[in-house]
Amino acid sequence: MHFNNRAARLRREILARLATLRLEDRLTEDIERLPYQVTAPGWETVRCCVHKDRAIIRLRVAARLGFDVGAKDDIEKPLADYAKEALERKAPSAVGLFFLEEACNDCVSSPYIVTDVCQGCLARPCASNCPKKAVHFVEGRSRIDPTLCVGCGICAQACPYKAIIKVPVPCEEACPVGAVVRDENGERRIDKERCVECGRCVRECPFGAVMEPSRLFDAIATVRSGAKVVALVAPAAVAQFPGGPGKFSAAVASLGFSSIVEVAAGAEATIEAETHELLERIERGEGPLATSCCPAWTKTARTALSSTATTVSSTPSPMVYSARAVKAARPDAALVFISPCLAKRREAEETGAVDLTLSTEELGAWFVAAGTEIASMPERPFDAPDGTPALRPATRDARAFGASGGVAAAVSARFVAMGRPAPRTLAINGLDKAAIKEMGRWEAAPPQTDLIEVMACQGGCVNGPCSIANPRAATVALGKYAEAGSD
Amino acid sequence: MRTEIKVVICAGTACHVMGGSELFLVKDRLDESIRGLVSIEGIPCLDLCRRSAPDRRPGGSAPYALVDGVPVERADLDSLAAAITARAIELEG
Ligand code: FES
Repeated sequence: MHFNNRAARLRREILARLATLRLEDRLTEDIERLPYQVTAPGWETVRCCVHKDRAIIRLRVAARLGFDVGAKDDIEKPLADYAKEALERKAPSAVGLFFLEEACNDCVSSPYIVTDVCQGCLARPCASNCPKKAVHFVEGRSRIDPTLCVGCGICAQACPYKAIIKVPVPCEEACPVGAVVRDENGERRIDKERCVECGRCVRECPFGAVMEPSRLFDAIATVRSGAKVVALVAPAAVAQFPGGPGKFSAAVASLGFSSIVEVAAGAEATIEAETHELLERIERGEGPLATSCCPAWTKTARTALSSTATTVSSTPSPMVYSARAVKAARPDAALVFISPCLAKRREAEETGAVDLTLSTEELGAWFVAAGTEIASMPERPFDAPDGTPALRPATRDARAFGASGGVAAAVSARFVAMGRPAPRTLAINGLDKAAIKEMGRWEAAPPQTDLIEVMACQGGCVNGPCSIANPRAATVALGKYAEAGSD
Repeated sequence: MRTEIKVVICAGTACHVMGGSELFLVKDRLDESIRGLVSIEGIPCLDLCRRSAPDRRPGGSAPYALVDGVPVERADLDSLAAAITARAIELEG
């Protein structure tokens, strides 16, 4: 689905409104009005009536306050109660994606249907070619018996009028690991064991039914607590906003973060470690090594592929390295990692590297609520891990990590700098069903390469599920940010 | 005589966050006969976000664009292309 759509806009509007209420300290007082304000005149009704729309928006609001509100009875609870809990909690509550049952359209599961375009022709190749005899004619029109159809699609290919179409279930189509399942009541659910948090379903569901408990409130609370809070900004986060790195750094600082550290600085350590791990592996002749910085990918490798299909490097991600550097210099600081990625939330929990992760969508909403105008910000350098202004920007290669091909290019460049021949590299640009199928075949026939770079999002982190800029614009911005890096 | 159609796209933070960054690609969506007439300019916050009704704040009906001075609210590629096309037809007639 096109990245910019009404569902995405609604998500951001709710976040920005909530952030405003929080920043102006009138959350519990005014939160019940929020669903009415969103659906004020000008709102185009989505479901049967505006009341249903508001009921769903209430649950979206609760999710944005950081709660998993997948169950039906969550709808009874007053928003003010959710708000109070959100204000009082000390640590973020639930993690992981969930279906908003009320918002889910229960998309049809019969994959092929005959449309009105059917002419009821003489040839009827749909019926004669169906291997399951699932196509029959009613009043001169083709019909598919869903109990017999196995979804092979031969009828659709055979129809000269293109009258037979496949109505996809967008979330199931999008999920590369089969984590969208139906429970005993037929309701869609996310199987959390299988889910790799790539966020494809969040983006692809046309009803915006897949949600995720936001961390925005926890981040605002942390910054307001008076603690020293360090923002670790991923290259892909810098690339989401207009104005370039200097203004971005100033804008983030204006929200109350005490220092702004480039995650790309940590990527330099990742490049170093990844290079050595790969060198040793090549010397031992053990076959290709896959990169480890994409957490959606590393979980996929763990849970959806056999252990012999690929070996994932043990090198920590740039997030982990940059967090370690800050923690070493300032053990008392709270760390907030900012990127367009959802899977980093789990990596943060598993590694304990940072206190919170904030998505670029959440950061953007915070800017809007605070009235931050990035264009009118002064230029501000990034900070070193100890909080002093950084002496040099992160390197070009490290900043380019945010785009597909960036990690492999950086490791190759290190090989060459060490006087070694560049390794053979293979990039998996986007972890979709086809990519996983291909990787499944590697068990029998490993690819003839040394380094496999895998990024779950097509185009790389810069096109993560919580990105806000047009992917083309963000990729250009990332290129400029990288160019301005040091050697 | 046909004149130029001036499209101003808000590049302010609220409009950007609400999805305005792609509006700069609107020419791709226009009919070739119109494309040549259109000039596109990005300017910092048009202030429409801040001047919106209190119930619509923050952000108002961002993203905003102006087509010959007339605001397009909640603009996306389709609605902005439609507004530009309508303006071209108006000028023609
Ligand atoms: S940011 Fe566009 S009008 Fe203010």
